[in-house]
Amino acid sequence: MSARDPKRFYRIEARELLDTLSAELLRLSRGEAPPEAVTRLFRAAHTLKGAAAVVGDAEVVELARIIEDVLGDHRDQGTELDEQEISEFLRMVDGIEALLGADLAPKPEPSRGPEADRTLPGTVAAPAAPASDTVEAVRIEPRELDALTENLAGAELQNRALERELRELERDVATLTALSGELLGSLQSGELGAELSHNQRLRFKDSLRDVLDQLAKNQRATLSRADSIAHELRQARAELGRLELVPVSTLFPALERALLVAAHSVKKSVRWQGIGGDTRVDRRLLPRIKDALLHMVRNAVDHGIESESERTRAGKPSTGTVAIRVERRGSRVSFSCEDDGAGVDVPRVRATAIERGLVTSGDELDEQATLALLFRSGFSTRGRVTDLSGRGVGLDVVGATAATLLGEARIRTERGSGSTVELVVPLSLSTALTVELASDDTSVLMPMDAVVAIGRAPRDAIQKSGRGEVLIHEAELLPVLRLGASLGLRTTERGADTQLAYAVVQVDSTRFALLADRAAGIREAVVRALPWAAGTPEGVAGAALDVDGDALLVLDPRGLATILRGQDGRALAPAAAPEARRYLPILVIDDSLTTRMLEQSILETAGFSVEVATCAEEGLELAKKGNYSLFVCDVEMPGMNGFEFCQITRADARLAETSVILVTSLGSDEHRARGAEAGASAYVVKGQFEQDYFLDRVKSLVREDG
Amino acid sequence: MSTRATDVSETTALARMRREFDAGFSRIVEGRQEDLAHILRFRAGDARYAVEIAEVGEVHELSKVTRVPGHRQGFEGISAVRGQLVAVYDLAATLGGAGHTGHARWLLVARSDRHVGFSVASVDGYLAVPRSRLVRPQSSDAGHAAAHLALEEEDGIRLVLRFEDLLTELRRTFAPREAGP
Repeated sequence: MSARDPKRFYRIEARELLDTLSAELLRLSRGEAPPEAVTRLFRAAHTLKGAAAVVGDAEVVELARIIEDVLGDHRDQGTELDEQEISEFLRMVDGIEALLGADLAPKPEPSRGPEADRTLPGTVAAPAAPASDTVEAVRIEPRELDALTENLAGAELQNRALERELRELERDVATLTALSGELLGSLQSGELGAELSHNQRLRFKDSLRDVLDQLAKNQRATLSRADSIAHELRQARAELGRLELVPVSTLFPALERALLVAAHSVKKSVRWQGIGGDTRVDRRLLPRIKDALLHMVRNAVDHGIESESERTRAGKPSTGTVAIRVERRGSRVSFSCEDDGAGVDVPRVRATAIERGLVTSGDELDEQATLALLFRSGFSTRGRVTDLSGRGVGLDVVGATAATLLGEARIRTERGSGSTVELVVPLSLSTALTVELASDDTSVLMPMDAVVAIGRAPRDAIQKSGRGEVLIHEAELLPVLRLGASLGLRTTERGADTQLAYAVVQVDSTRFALLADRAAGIREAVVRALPWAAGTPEGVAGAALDVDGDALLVLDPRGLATILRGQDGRALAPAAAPEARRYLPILVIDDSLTTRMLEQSILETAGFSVEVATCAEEGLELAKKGNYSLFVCDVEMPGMNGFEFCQITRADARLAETSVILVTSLGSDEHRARGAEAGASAYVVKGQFEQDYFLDRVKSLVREDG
Repeated sequence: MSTRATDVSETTALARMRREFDAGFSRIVEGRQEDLAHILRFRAGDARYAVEIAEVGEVHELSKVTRVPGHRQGFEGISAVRGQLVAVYDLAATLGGAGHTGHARWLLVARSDRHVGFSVASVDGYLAVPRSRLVRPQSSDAGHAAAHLALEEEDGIRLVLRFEDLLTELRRTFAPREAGP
């Protein structure tokens, strides 16, 4: 392990990758591998090829490339490996192992602690004090911890059932006591047991009382014992919880190794920083995010940091910096990979996306939406495949990790200054705080991390809006997603007089209301992955067990937002159709908040600017002071009604130039005639409200600016 | 006298039963040398099936099945079996034959993959039969590739399924179709 040994990090990494390749191939050969095994194998082979290329191990590069190419074809075509290929690959893995030699697994050395800061030269000469990989050590133990956790969960489940049964027993004992009281009363009065002697009755009464007393005593003792067991279990759970937390710094050595390997590969000088390594997280989280963090680091070195000469020309220090910053944010933890490199060339990303048919040149993508493309599988801006990148394997791993863990992935970048790729995931994989929502016979759990409010609304507060529905929460118009329908499950909300429950869900800057019959409480849930044969349905993150041990779906807020976009493109679409901006504002006058916001939403989405008034008097005042392209006015309002507003504005020479659309629930011919008589240019009945019809009327009547 | 006669009779009967019982351990059962197939017999939809017991990991009365979005033939949802999540497929519908009858009461969990179970209407029992009695089904009887053998019973044919074939078919439907660069 001297500093002159350029292959030490390579050997550690190669061992991990060979283990992965070998294990997955053997599982494939046994027919036990999950469907994503080919992708995992491909990534392992790809990474192995890159690592081998860095240290100039041409034979391993060649073998890994062959495996990678064949797997790449299978991945792209969705086909399975046949037995011959699996066998050949296993032979090649053996061959690679032999090439690497017998000293594959160097002994781990002590960790350098949570904070690390080091300059890595862009040459083969590596820094001293290589890091330990304590994650490896943890990998052995988790199985035992998992078994312990599973057994404890089973015991908790059993004890809850026992407590429930004991409560039922308590009720039965009370009933029995009451009945025996009646029986004893009847015996006392001679209504029953007249044929028995006095002594027989006494013996019977004494026996019955003894039995009941004993029963009650046993029942109390058993309840007390169950309470004690529950207490012990809670303590065991707390102790286990402490064992489950490990510092993130255990991952830093592996990340640093990856940075070194990547920097050497592309001949760049890069400084490593690990910040916040003492943050403790669920031990199961680390192996699940490790790949994503490795790719973040490699990506920063390969794509972010410039060459020494480029940095010098740009007036930057010749050594670049890549930092992993870990921060706890409430029940979440953020892993940021920050580099001071060139930043992302956003127009180039967009051009590549168009070239690959991921978007069309007509699509409007803001910077965030464009950068989000980098998290897509197979996306690479590299024109050719190299040993380190260009296969589109990289940030897609970060995106997939975020999705799997109910987290978020995002990129911030500034051209010339650098980029930050951030992965935010729940601190604990073992439990998540959730709200239970139920419709009909279906109950689901929504992670509270994404819930900003829970409320109730009358059924008629849900309004139709174009292709979807909306409701108002705290003066905010929210698109509605119905629980059952959104998941393709057959559920129905109950009668029209029922109050419905909703959770306001926030995903990035998007908010929507998830509607259900009722909110059945908030609780912690152990979230598990769905079995592979259940598929990966959009909007579902996994499942948890309820108190009876039955399965409940746990929803994925981000997936639900995607469903909503598909269901109601308008609801989450960015506002402003540019061509509509040439119009003056439209004045919406309605005393109903729902109608006002619905109309405002529709009009703004169509690109119009909108002002609102809550009564005809206020509307008239605004109309006289301002300049509008159209009045959209309710008819039935307290004080001045819509017909009167229409007549007054028609009588004013300046205001008469602006058309009036009456929007009302009064749909009779008589009312229509009255509207026409008052000078309304169009009459829209709320009960028949259709967005397209309404917009057609608006577009035909708006006055252009100037 | 009658009591004495009864005693003699009982003694004789007991002696005979003891002899038969003891002989049961020493006698070579007819056909014991023949290769036996150990099968679990059950009904799914309107049809009778069997599966080799070695392919069955667990048999449970079907508890609550939680529906999961998605439209895969026969997929009913997920169920928790002793704290483990199992994807439940209605066997009759999966085979594409009689379809879901709504009477599935039992869950047969596959041994090779404890995360997949097939729901069936009833379990008829366990039977060890000479393999020679298991024959290739006529194509008109089989209906599905997983029905690789058939057992002729007094009142008709019972198809013997291979769960591994059903699992392989399921895995195929879930194979990744990730678009490459």
